[in-house]
Amino acid sequence: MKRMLWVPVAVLLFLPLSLLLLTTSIQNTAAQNAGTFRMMAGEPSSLDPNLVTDYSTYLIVQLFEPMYILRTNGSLQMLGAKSVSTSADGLTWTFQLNPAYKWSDGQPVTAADYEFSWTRDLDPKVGGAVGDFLTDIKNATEYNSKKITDPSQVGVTAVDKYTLKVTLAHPAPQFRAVVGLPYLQAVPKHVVQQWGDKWTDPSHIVSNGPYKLTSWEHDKQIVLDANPYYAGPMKPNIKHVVISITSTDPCVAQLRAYEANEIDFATCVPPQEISRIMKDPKLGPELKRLPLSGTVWVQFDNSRAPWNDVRVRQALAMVVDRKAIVDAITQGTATVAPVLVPTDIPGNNPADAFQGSVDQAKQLLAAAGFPDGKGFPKFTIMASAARSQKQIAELLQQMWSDKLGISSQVSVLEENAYRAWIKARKTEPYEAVIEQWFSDYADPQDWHDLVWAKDYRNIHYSNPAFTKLVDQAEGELNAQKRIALFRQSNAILEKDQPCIPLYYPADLWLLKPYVTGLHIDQGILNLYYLATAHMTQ
Amino acid sequence: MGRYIVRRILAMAPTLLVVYTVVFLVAHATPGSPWDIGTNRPLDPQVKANLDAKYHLNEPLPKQYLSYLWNALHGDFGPSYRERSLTVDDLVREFFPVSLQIGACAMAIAVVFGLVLGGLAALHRGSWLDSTVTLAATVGISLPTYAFVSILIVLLGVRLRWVPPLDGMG
Repeated sequence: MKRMLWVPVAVLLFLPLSLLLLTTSIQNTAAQNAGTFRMMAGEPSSLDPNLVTDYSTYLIVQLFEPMYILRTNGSLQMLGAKSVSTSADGLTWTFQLNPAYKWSDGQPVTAADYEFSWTRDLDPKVGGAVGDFLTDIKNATEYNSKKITDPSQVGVTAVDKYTLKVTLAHPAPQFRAVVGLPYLQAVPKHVVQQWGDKWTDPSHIVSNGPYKLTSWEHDKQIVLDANPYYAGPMKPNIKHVVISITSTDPCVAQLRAYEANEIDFATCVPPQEISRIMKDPKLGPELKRLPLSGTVWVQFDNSRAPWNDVRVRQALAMVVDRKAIVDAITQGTATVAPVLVPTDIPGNNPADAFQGSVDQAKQLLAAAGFPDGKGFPKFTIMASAARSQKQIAELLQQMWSDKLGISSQVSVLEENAYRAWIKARKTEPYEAVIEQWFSDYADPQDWHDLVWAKDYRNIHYSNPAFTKLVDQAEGELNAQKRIALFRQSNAILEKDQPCIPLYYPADLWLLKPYVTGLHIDQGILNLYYLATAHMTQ
Repeated sequence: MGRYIVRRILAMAPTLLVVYTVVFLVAHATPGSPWDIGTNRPLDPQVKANLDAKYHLNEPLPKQYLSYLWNALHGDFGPSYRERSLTVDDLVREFFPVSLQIGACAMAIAVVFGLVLGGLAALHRGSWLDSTVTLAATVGISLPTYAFVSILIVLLGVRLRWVPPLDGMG
């Protein structure tokens, strides 16, 4: 026995040696270095501004700047453009570019870059999702659907080196908000033409924003450095940014890294950890709440009985306890939604809020033919497994059963299956589903027209008075008259309750105390610009 | 022996073909498209049509099945849906060395520990050493890897800081 003792000892020594072997072959994470900002994100699907409108946008906006940004107060912060003017008929928009803007290789950003970029957004061969926002431009949909094949016929023209002229197919006042979107930046024509699909490789890519891409190790790390040629107002204070890529749940991974002091900034918090963090003496003060321009609601198939009866929808709306939902689902971090359209969208009117008592609800339900809920068909509330929708559905199920005596069941789908299911509801029947909409841009048209008139969420709401007002507002060039029309359609919408608003969600950030200045300028999508941040150590 | 090895390698082909067919059918049977993940607006039907055309998803299924198989046999595994600027070949080329390295380390530990401890247990059958090793082996096989590894990460990475808990690899 004693003779063989050296064997287990050798084995026990081998254990730390093999661990050492493993660790030396893995790079160490960046220790907290003065001047380096560390954060974490999921792998972006692309850094090409023309292609994607998903979460990759949050990284793209650090590299590329659009012509301007629309602030929450409605004013424009001019960036790539010096000025914008519209013709009297609202069809021609002229953009004067800021000649100081250069790409990170020193080449000037010209109108030709914007013409190339917006045409590429619409190019059917490229298949970018951004083209969807440019449908108001003359010949945009024709080019995108291959009815015409000559891109020069699309209403975007570089008149001279720094002047871009855009011709619309019809008056579209929301185009002002659309141009400020993060998706409509220019791409460098000279680089894209040379490298094609590979132009976003770190060795080729150039950008016009505060940062440039230094390296991109897929699924591992992205490194950004200050762009020496940047000419805009947001000169970065932090010169070096290291973004670790995570392939697991980004909220869980970020919290773990933040608590281990591996990152300086976390962009979300797992819902089940919110209470613990709020109570934590160290993390609590570091938690920042940023309301989002969006609404979570429960919607019904307005084309089928009993959901086509407004009294039924109103009765169900009256008994919903929104505060209870906000407290249970979001630990009070979300905001109760009294109306469907969020408060930052012009034309919104909280006074339109639909409310009533439980008794009134019971009366309405009885008038609709279901006294005390008798005879009301048992229905299904569909929910996605994501975003706590299952819990929301269960709370609603309970409220409707307790207060009105109607019974329902909750059905849950995995997120991708849920999205496919929603799409199929264009023609397939359903009863109720938890859904949401986030503002794409700060204009009521994004809500009244896209969600309810054009039925993007398959709610099948139909009220001729509402549709007429929305159509009228579309073509109205006088800004005040336009908002007045949307106010009228808002009043009708709230009374009809095609969907019941529940809450406006909020983003939750964690920011180390030595990071200051990072904020939101526009509530839409809660985009942040790292160039505005300072690190005080 | 050589003939046996060759026969075993050739036997891989029908297995791979079955795997390919099953994966192909399941991927096409799953609801949803690869395109509208993480977006607010439903994807414009025209944009979806353009993307489908670009990635040949609008072709009849048998044609897709055969053309992808043909390309794969020639080393072209097609573009990545997840990363619009990369091909699957790029991704494999990036990940394979890392997987190989981790796999090799794991293999080295497993072989050395397994052989040594197993040998010791066999030589001292019935002793406390045998019982300990057998117990450890049984526990190791029974515990789900993800649970055991999570505990190790918390212990060695977060608490003791012997290894970096997160390395940007998730």
